[in-house]
Amino acid sequence: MTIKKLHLWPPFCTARFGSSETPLEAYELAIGENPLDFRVIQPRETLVVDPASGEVVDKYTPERIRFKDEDRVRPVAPFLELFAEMSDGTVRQVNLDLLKAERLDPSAVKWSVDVANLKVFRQTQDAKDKIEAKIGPIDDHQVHELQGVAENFLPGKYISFGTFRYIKPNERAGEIRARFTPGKGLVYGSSTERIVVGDTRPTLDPVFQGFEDRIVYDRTRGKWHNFQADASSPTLPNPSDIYQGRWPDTEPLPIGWGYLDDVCDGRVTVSIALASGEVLTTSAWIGTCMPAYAPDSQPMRTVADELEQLIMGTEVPDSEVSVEDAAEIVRRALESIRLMNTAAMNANVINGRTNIASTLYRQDTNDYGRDYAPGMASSLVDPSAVRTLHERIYTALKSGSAPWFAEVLRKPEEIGDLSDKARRKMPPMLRGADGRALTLTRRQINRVVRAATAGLFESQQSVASSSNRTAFKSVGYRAAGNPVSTLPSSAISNCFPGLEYDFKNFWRRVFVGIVLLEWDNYVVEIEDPKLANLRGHRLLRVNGVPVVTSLSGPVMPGGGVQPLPYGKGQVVTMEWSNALAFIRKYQGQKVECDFTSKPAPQPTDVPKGKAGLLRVSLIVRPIFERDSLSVSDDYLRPGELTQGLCSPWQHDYRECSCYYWPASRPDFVNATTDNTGTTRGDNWLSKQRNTGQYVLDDRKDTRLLSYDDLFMDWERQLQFQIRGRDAEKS
Amino acid sequence: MRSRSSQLRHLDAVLSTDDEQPAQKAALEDATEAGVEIPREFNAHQYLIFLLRIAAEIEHCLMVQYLYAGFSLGGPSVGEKLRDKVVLWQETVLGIAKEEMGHLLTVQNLLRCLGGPLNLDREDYPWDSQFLPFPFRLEPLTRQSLAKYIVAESPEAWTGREAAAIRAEAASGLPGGGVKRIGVLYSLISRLLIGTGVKDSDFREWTHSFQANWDEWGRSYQGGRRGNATGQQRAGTPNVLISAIVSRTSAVEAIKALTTQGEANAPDDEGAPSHFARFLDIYRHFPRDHRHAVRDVPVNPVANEGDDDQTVISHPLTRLWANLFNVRYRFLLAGLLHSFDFPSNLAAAGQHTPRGLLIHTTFGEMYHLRALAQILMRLPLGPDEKRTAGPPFQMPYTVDLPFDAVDRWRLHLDLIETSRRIVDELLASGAGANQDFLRALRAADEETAGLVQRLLLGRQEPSVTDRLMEFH
Repeated sequence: MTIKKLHLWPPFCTARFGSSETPLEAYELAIGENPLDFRVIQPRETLVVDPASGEVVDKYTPERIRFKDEDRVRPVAPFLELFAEMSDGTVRQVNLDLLKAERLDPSAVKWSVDVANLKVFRQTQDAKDKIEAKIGPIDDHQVHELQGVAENFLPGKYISFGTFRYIKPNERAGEIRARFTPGKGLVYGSSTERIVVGDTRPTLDPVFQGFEDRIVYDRTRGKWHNFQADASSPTLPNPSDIYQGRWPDTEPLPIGWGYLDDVCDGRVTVSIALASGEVLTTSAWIGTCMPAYAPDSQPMRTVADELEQLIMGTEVPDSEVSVEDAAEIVRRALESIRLMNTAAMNANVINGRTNIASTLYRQDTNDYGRDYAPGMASSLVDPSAVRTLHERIYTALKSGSAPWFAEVLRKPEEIGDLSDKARRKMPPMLRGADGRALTLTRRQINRVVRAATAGLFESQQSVASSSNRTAFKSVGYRAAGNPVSTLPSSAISNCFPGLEYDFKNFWRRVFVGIVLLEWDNYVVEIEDPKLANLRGHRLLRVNGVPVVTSLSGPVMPGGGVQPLPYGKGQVVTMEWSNALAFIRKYQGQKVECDFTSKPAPQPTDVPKGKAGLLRVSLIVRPIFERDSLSVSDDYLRPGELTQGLCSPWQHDYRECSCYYWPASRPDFVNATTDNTGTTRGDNWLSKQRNTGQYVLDDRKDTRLLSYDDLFMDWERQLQFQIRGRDAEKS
Repeated sequence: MRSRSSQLRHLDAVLSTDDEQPAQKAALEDATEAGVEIPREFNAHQYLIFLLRIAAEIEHCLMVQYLYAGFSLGGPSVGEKLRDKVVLWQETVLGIAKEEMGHLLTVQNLLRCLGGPLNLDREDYPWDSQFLPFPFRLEPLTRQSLAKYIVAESPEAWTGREAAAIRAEAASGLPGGGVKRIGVLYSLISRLLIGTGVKDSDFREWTHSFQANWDEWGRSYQGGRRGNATGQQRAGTPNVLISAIVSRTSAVEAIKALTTQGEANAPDDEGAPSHFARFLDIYRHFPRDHRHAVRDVPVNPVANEGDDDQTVISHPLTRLWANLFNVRYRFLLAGLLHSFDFPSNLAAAGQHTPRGLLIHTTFGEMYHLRALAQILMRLPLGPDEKRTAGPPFQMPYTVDLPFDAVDRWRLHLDLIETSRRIVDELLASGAGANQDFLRALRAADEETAGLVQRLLLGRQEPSVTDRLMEFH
C-alpha cells in the first residue's frame, strides 16, 4: 500500500490578526440545550508548540476560550495537516509511521508559501505595487517570516505577513503539519504626513507617530500616495471608496494617504519525493483577515457555501434533501439578525432622521434613481420583533415541518427587480457581491425548495433526518488545534467588498484567455493575444444563459414598476457565483460566449437578435486540480482573493457604515428591549457602552470610533461579542 | 359557550340555497331597485356591521376548512405518479386558504373603519346555519368536499352539465339541501355600501394606520403562493388581497376585489384564476378514491369528548398535541386581534409600537400551527387506530380581548404559561423526534414572555380617573 495522492487540509484556511503571543485556542460551535440561543463555544484540544524546537510539546483542552490578553487579541494561527490517498483508496493522515512505511523521513516533506497583497496594485495597476512574499521549499522546523516586498517599497523595507513553520513531528504528535501565524493587523504607510480635509498643508500623521518604521512605500517611485481612483473608469472596484485618504465634498473619490496593510492570501504548497522518485504535490489556500468578532454566530452565506456549490453543483440529490439543512439556513439568518440593527438597515427613520445610514435601499436610489423608501414595512423591523419571527420559523422547521418559504427566497435573476414585493424577498437588507440585494447560493435555494416537499409523502421520522455530504467534508475539516473560525464556514461570501475574502475575485479567470472584472461583465484584461479584440467588451450570455438581468422599479411611492432614471442599459450584472454556477460541469471544455459586438463601457442588455452580439468559443478553465480541492495554479493568483478589500482593512469598519453586513462584523450589540417594545443597544463601534442609545453611523459621528482609532488602536477598542454582549472570553 | 347573535331572523330575505336561486335573484333585484330593506331592529350602519361580522365568520370558517383540506394531502399512500399533482394541489389549496386570511383581514378593516367590533369568532363544528355556504366540517380533501368548495365560490352564472353534476355532488349528504354561494352575502353588503343609508361620515379615515395592510401582512407573497414551496402554482394566480379602507369608494372596491378573487376572473384579469377556477381544476383531476391523494385523517377531530359528528382524539399523547394546537390557535387569534390596537405609521416617524412584535408573533403562530398540524397528521388517532389525527382548530371559550390594555398583554402571558405546561408534559411523555421542536417552542415563548413583561413594566393599572379621561 503506497501513497498515491496528497491532500492538504483544510483546503481553504483562514488566519486572523492579533498581536498576543498566545494564539487563539481551539474550539468548535454547537447548538446548546436552548435551541434558539447563541451557539455554544466548546473548547477543543489545543496544541502547544515549543518556540525553540517547533515541536508540539503539550496538548490540552481549555475550560473557556479567551479572545484577548489585556488589550491584545489572540491571533488565529491555523495548522494545516497533510493527508494521503493510499493505493487501496483509503485516506490516511500523513505521520511519522506512514513516512517510515514509505521509507521516508520528515525532511522528505517540502513546504513552500506564496502569498501576496494586491490591494494597491488593484487600484494603481502598477505591477511594482504588488506586495509578494515567498518562502521555500523548506524542510526545516524554523520560523520563517513572510516578508512582503514590492518594487515600489523603500530599500530594505517589507511588510510582515506573519510566519510559517513546518511543525516538527515527534512521538507526542507525529502528524505532518505546518502552522501559519498571521501578521499583527498593522497599518503601513508612505509618509509620516498627510493632508486632511480643510487643510492645504500636510501635518504629522498620527497613525505613524512613534511608528515611523512602518513607512515602507516609496512615494517618489509609486503613485499610491495621493492616489485618486478614476471615478469614470469601468474597471473601478465596487464599491470604489475602499482606500483611506481625504475626501473633500468636491471630489468624486478620496485622495489617498498611501496606507497599506498586512492582509494577504495565497498558496501553501507541499510535496513529498517518494522513494520511487515520484514527487507528489498538493496545495491549500490561506488568507489573513480580521478577528471573528462574533465567534458564536455564523454568517448566512459563507465561503463554504460558495465552495459547496462549486464542487457539488446547484442541485441537491434526493439522498441529501433535509429539513435540517433548511433550518440551518434560517438559524444563520437568525444569528445575523441578532447582531444587526434591522430598523436602521431597513432605512427606517431613526430618531426623526431620514436617510442617514448607508443602506441597501439608499443604494437602490443612489445607483438607479429608484424611489427612496424603506425595504420592509417600517413597523415590522424592530430587531426584537424580527428576531421573534425568525425564532418561530426556526422552531417550526425543527418539527420536521417542510419549509414553506422557498417562493419568497430571492432568485439571482430577481436582483434587478426593485419593486416593493421583490425587495421584501428573503434575505432582505443585506447586499450581495453584485451590490444588489443578497441572494443565497442557488444550491442553498434548491436545498430549501427540495426540502419543502420532502416530507409530504414520508413518515415523520425520515423527514427530520440530517444529510450526509461526505464528498464535501474536507472543506469543513477542522485541523487539530484550530478554532472553527479558520474554516470557510466562518467567512462571509456576500462580499461587498468583503471581510475575510473578496470572493467575487474567484471568478475572474474562469475563461481561458480573458480576465473579467470581478463584479461586472466587463472584459478587463486579455491573456491570449488572439482574443485581444474582446478587451472592453461585455459578456452577456454563456451557452445562451444571460449573465445580466433587467432592472425596474417605482420612481414614486406606490408608483408602478418602470425603467429607472439612472439605470444604464436597464440591466444589472449578476454576481458570478450564481450567474456562472452552471459552468462547473464544462471545466476544460468550450462554451459559447456572447459578448457585445463593440467595447461597451456602460452596461447593456442582451440584444433581441444576433445583431450587436459577438459569439466566441472559450474554454472554461479547470478550477481545481483533479479529484482535489487544490485550486489550479493558473486559476487564482496569490493576493487575488483579498485584492478588492479595503486598504487598510480597518477602513471598512467605518466606511461602509455597516448597514448591509451579515454576522461576522457585528453591528447591534448589548441589546435589550425597553418598556415600549423598542430594542435598545449599542452600535458596536460606540465608544461608550450600554447607553441604550444606538448611534447611527453616518461616517462622521464622533461618538463612534474614528478611522484613526481603528488604525492605531483597534485591538483595544474593538470588543468581541459573546452571546451578543461585550466579552473577552467564552 | 361563546356568544352568538341570532342572525337568522335578520337574513330571511337574502339567504336561500342554490336551488332557490331564481327566486332569490328576483328578491335581490327588487331590493336593489327599492334599496336594501333594513331590518326593523337596525339602521343601515349597524346592519352593515352586522353583515360584515357574518362575513368575517364565513371567511374564518372557509380558511380553516381549506387549511385542514390542504394539510390532509400527501402521506405514504400517494403513488409516485400522482405526487407532483398532490404537491401542486396542496400548494393551491393552502394558497387559497391564505387568500381567505386576506379576506378575513379586509373584513376586519371594514369593521375598523366603520366603527364596528372586530370579529375573529366562529362556531365550532358540527355547525350549520343558513348563512354559511355549507355546514362547517373539517375533513380531508375529497371530490365531494371539492364540489362544495367549488359551488360556494362559483359565479352566479355558472351553468351547464358539469355545473349541475358538481352541484348535485356538493349537495349529496348535506342536510337541508345544496350549497349556498358566498357572493350573495357580499352582494348585499355592496349594495348597502353604495346606498344612502350608510353615511359618508360612517367611514373613519383616521383608522387607516390601525388597519391591517399588505405591506405588513402580504410578506412579498403573491400569486397565491403563501404556503407554496415549489412555485408550481398556476400562472397568474392573484395576490393575497388585504385592502385598507378609508372611504365608501375604497370599501366598495375592496368588496368587489374580494368577491372577484373568490368567484370568477374579472374580464380584464384572465390570467388570475379565482378560487372557483382553481378548485374546479383540482376537481377535474382528483382521483375518485381520495385515499390515493390524502392521509387517512378523521372528520372533525376534537381534543375532548365530542358528539356524533366529531372524532375524539383518544390517544393520550396525541391528545396532548391537540391541546397544544388549540392553545396556539388561540394565541394566534389573540395576537391578530391585539395588533389592531396599535398604529403602523408611528414607525415612519422613528417611533416603534408593539404592532410589529404582535404581527410577527402572529405570523410565527401560523408557522407553529402548520408544524403542529403536520405532527398531528402523523400521530395515531387512538391507541388502536390506523388513522392518524388532525388539527382540531377548536375555538376557545372566547376570542374577545380583555378590556384593559394591561390585561390584553397578560392574556399572552397566560397563554404562554398554558402552552408551557402542555409542552412540559409532552416532553416528559417522550416526544421522540419532536423534542427539538418543543424545546425551541418553549424557548421562543420564554423570549416572548420576557418581551411582554418588559412592555408591562411601562404600563400601570388604569385608575378610575384614567378611564374617565378616555371619554373626554
